[in-house]
Amino acid sequence: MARLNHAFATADEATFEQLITDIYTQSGHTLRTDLARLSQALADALAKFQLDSRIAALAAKDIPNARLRLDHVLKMTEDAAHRTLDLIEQTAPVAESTANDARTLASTLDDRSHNDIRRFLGEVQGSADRVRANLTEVMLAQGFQDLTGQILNGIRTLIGEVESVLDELAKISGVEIRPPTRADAGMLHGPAVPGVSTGTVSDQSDVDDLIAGLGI
Amino acid sequence: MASSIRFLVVDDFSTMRRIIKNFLTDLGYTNITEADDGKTALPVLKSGVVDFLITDWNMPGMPGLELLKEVRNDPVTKKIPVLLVTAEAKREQIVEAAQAGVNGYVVKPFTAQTLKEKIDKILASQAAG
Repeated sequence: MARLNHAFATADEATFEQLITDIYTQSGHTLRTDLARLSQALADALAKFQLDSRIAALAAKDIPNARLRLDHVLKMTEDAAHRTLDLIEQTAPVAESTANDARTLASTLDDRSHNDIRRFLGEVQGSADRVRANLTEVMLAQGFQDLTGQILNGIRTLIGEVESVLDELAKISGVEIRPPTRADAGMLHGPAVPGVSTGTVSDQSDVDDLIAGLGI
Repeated sequence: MASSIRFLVVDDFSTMRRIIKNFLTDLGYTNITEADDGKTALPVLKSGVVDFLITDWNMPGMPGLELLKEVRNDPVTKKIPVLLVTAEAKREQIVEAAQAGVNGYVVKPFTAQTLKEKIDKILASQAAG
């Protein structure tokens, strides 16, 4: 083996070929048996694979559906984060002006009178400042959308790669691509995903119409 | 005056751009431009209207590290302070960014205090230098 390595490393083609021939001659029988076993295993695997139309179903429908579902999750988290940011942007100035108004009003009051009002204004100011600070934290927490989104994008890319591999495998196996038989027929479907879910209502008014149409 | 500093915030996620922009506004900085990746950011930087660059790393088109290198290679932009705000948290990545000339590095998710500290630190060293 050391001689073989050396012949390979020094690109000594003649010696390398001679050594390989020697090895083959010495252990020809074992090698041929191994090759026969390997080719039988490959044939078995291909035969089994051809029977498995589930792979075709995965390539044709389930994987593309998974991609669409991920896209929808991304969109939903993005929309929710933006909606939260909308409300923070609307609410933060209210808290800020409340704190400022309380501060201004307290400063106009006489030191020796209106103690209750002064204390109250102090509390209002403190509360409004806390609301403002908490809103900043809520705003930063919306960064989850970026972080989860990056992870989802990574999985989306992976799914795309699996999809093309499965497509290739389905072509090689010659399996006819047909709609999957649903293994999860008894399961609930969860949130509707546009472009994936069929036969779903689009919003509550659709539900109300349907329910009313059923006489309830 | 501090509030006149012109920021460019680069991130492919619109939510993150909005968060950083809001945060800068809270700190009193109102001159903020946005871009969604290095390719769209670069012409803005080269036009000379940016004093401070805050960028993500992992973006399609041109990632943040490449943007940083472009910024450092151009005489017009090479002195612009660059703060990377990124989810990339491997030591070798931080070293790589430092070697490329980054001025600050914040790992997502970050707190308000962390972001403020890094911005303040960079501005202070700019003022001193």
